[in-house]
Amino acid sequence: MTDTTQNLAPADAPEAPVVLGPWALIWRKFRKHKLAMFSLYIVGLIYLVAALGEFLAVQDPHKTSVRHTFQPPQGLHLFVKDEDGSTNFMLHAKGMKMELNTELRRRTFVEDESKIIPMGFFVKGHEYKLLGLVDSSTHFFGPKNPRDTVFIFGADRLGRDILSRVVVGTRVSMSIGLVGVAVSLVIGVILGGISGYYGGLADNLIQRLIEFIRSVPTIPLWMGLAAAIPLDWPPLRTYFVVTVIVSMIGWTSLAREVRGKFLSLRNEDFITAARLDGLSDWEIIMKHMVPSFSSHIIASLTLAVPLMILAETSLSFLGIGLQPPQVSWGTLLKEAQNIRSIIEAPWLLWSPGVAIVLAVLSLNFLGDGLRDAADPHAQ
Amino acid sequence: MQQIPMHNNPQSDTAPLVKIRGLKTQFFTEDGIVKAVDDVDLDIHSNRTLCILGESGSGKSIMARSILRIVDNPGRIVEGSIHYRSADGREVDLAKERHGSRLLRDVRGQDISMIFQEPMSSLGPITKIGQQIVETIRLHRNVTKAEAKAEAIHLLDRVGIPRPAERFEAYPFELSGGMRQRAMIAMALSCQPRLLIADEPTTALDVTTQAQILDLIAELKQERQMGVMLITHDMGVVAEVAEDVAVMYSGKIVERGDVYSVFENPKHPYTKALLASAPRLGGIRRRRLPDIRELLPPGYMNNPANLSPDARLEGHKVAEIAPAEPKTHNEEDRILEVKNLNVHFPIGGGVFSKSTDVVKACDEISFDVYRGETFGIVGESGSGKTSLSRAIMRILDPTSGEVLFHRKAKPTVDLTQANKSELRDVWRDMRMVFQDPQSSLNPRLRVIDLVGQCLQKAESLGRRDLQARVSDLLVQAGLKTEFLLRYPGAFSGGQRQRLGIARALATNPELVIADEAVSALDVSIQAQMLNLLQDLQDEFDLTYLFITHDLSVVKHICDRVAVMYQGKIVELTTRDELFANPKHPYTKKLLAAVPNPDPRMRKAS
Amino acid sequence: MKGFILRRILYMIPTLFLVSIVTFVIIQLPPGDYLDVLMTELGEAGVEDSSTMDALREQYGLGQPIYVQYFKWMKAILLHGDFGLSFEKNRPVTDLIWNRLGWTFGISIMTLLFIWITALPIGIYSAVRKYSAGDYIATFFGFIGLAVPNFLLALVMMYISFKYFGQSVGGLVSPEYLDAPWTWDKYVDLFKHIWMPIVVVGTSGAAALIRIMRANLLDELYRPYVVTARAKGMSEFQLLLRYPVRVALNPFVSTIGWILPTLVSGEIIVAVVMNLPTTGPLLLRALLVQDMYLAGSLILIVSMLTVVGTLISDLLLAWIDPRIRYQ
Repeated sequence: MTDTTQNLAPADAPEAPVVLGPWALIWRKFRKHKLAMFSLYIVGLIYLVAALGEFLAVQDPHKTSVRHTFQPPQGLHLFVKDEDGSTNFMLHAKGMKMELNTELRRRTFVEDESKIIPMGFFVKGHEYKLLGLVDSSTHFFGPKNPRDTVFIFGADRLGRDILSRVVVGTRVSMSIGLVGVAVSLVIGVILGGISGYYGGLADNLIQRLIEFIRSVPTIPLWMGLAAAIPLDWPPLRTYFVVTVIVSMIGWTSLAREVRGKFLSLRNEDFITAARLDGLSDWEIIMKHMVPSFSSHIIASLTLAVPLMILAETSLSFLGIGLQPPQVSWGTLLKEAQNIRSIIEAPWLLWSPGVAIVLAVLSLNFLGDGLRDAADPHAQ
Repeated sequence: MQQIPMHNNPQSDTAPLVKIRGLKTQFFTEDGIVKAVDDVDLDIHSNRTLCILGESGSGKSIMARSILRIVDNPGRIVEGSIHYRSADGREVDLAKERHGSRLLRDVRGQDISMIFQEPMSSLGPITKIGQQIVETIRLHRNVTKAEAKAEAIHLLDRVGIPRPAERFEAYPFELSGGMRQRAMIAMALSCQPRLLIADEPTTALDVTTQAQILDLIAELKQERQMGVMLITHDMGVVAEVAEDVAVMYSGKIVERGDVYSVFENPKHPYTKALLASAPRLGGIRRRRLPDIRELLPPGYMNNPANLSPDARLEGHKVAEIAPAEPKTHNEEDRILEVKNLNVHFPIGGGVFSKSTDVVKACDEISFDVYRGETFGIVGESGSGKTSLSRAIMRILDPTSGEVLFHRKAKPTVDLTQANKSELRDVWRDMRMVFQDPQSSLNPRLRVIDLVGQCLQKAESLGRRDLQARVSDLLVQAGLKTEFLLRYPGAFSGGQRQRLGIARALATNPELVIADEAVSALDVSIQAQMLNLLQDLQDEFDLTYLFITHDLSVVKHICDRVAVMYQGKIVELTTRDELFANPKHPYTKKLLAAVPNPDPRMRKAS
Repeated sequence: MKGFILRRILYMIPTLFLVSIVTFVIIQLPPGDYLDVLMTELGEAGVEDSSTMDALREQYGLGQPIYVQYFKWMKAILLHGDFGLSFEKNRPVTDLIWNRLGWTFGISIMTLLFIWITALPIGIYSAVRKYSAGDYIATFFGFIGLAVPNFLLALVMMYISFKYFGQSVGGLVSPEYLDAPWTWDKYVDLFKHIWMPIVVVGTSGAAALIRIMRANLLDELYRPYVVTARAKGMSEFQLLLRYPVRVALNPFVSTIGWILPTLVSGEIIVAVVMNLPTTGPLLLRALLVQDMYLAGSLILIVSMLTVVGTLISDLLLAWIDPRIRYQ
């Protein structure tokens, strides 16, 4: 059976024309994976949104307005009818009127056909700092008149624009994934490396620790830790503590993987051969071992990012992670925590929900594609 | 249960059991169609042993699997017929049967059964051996579980497994390789098949175990009057057991006939070249081994389309290969002294208990190696020869003993006492060639770094100097300088081993330890490698310590030989003395077990 | 085998010890303690009852070195099964938690069964019919299942069932059965409710297990022993179940080890959303008001039961895989 695969090619074929290096081979394999390639673009796009944030926000995400409480999404329209009956192209939204439904004793919104809000690209709006550096008030898309308000994905309890909040929240949610993974990477590689390269007592202790962390249900633990964060802490500190809490389990699987790789590589002939070539332990690790599993680590890291995003979202959703006014997808979903507000304003759920699912899904596809491409045994 | 008296049936001599005509099995891969079996005609008869001989990649294994229709995807039979004549005389075409049809399933295991190369991976890993046999019996025969169990134990006993009732309960991983293959045979025989297909059944086994298994198959064939189709790459095995032979090359059968006519009067140039290059224990020792690729006309091997039976063998090349003159060595000029070397491994013991038992992988080993000679250490798997080579190199720490390394210009070192920096220095003068070139070359480094790594470490050369030095090394090892920037993945097995040799020679060593350096290679490439090693020895005044399980390699390359058995050296003598006059019973047994590629020298059975 | 069980049980002891320490640290983490809070409240109300305070202080060792507090806490638990007092509800923790813990683990175990029942056949199907339409559908839903956080799924399902089916959502039984005795009707009503948290909690686990089963089985499907079984004349279905599936099942079983903690985690967060009478809402509430003995006890017990569950799954694995037993 092992023989049959080799049988397909003559045993001593003339040298293959392949001169590509391992990374080039991985890239070539990855590019064949259509879904993963597509996901790579999506992930790139999401991180671009995270970086630009306010520039892409249609409105000031923090501006409240009682008149627009729970206003439903406004559609965008392309054509307007002039008085003379001719149809002209103009990107616009229709205004919304609030009416009091006396029968149901609640407010409803109806489209106001007469009010046309012209929309445009690169319009003036609220002030912000682009990438945190450059002062600007130009926005990619929005109403041409800065005093108009448009809620493309609807408004929340305080009349804030959901779309803008989802866009701005991307930064916190996506970066927690990255920072969390970076923390996991450092802890995981160091502990996993020690465990796998030296073995013995250190290995045993680290393995017990990992086993312990993995066998304890994470949510209650996280809840306990996160609940200990004082409410009056500045948002940035809360952010970092939440990140650390979230990455507390992320490192275990990484450490296991690194350890496994070290253990299996330690007995490889090419490592022995490198030792006989006179290389020191450090040179062997850096020149031979790390390159041998770095592609796997990258794939695992990519797969760890969505887990962190989900973890942050869960904590913030429960109200024990990030706190308002910090905007993240999790804190946005907290607005949709009870069934009554969802029924009244389902867009509270849809917008951040779709953002999370899209981000996690594309990161998963990307990670899967990377893993397949990095695996030398896979076809 | 349904013993058919073949000898009473006059038809049995004429009508074959299986008649294959125009069989084509092809693999539809992404890179195109691979014609694994290409227009094969073959007859398989009852009560005869047919050997299919071919190198790896010849399609012999796929052909055998096609008969039972167990070729894996994306392989398919695209043309041809496989007519099987069942016990009641009816003929069915197995090639036309639907996948998994009732008839196919009845034929499999009951009429035609099969054993494989790797008994470990071919047996279900977490099902008891006995259970696997019982299951086969009950698939085809209407018996109770208890009856099937009794039958299974009987079969285990028949194939020579001691304490069969106990082993019935064993898992495959609890048995040795030979025992596993016996269990596999017991399973294959459980329904009294009329044809047994054995696909390289002994390739993964030691030579003494191989002899036992081959004997067992021959005996059972005689006893049950069944046909045997044995697939192998080893001409010794063919000469030992075959009655009929078919030689396969590149998906085609290039020669067929009874064993004597094929061995004594081969028609096809490929067969002739194969026979000329077969390693043999008897006869004169030649300075160089004949190499198939040199014997055949140029371009012949790489282009199967050139394969016409009329091509002439380059006969003069065989004639050029002169007998080797005996070498003499100065016994005072020792390069390596191994004194009372012990390597013990603890066994058993857990977290709470300190283990008390040890395995003595090397037990009081002592020998000297003279400068300029090739010293062979031969032994079967588990004899401790690999532990010995690693302990000499100090890749693993010996339990006790001395390893003195005498160098020309530097002081003598006892490797067992050397510290890290001394070891690094020693490792420049004492190099190693590994068994598996695939695993000893890091796939992520370029040739220049792989081969030059030790040079770089020893002399810290500039990139340009390094390139020049590595280029020289590549040329010496018979490779091209263009290969400098390639990755190991772009090379064939033989080329990779050449890289390994180039790497070993990079620091101008005095002693080279070759641990099964040619065992993973096809016979023809093995010959090239041995020739290369000998050329390099002459050129650079090298001393070799050659570790191998293969006596034909020892016969060819070694000057003196130590035979290892269960961690001890049981015999240490010159090569000629070893083959002419073996003293230790184990050495005798070992020599007797090696199959000879000559059907006239067959051991009686 | 006996040695193996013993070893695993001994390994569990340090883990349990660690769990208790971590829990205790969590209890201690918030600045101040509940008595401070109580004191200020009482002070505001104008009540001066220092003797009660002192008694409480003595009981919990508050103000003493931290290891003394830990020791007192553990001693009470181990010797008397006394997990302390819920300050907020002013009742012993034990009165509040057992019923809820029962539901948490009941739902978790039912979810585990649900995951097995769905993941096993789908995973096998996906592997055997690789790249078929069914495989793609399973893979697609697998990815979705992994990508949707379970509280979000809970919200979506509640929304759908309310909006389109008009079913009452939240809780495990309809309001009219809340305090009713256990009758047949109540059981029926329970099952009408309980499937939703089970599906919600189980979806991501099932999605993960489908992928694991598929990958494991694909690893095994082309092994030589499968060819052997085929060459014996077994039918494809027979040999599939007897050999590759059996081998692929082992890593599958070992996943219980990590899936149980995630199920318990998932159950807790989903319970908050669906307002189930389990540990989730109680724990969240306790954490938010810093009712630390209640919160700590819940974390401790949930974690310990999970560790024990993991141990059981390990033993089960050793029981079905001889290779592990013999290590």
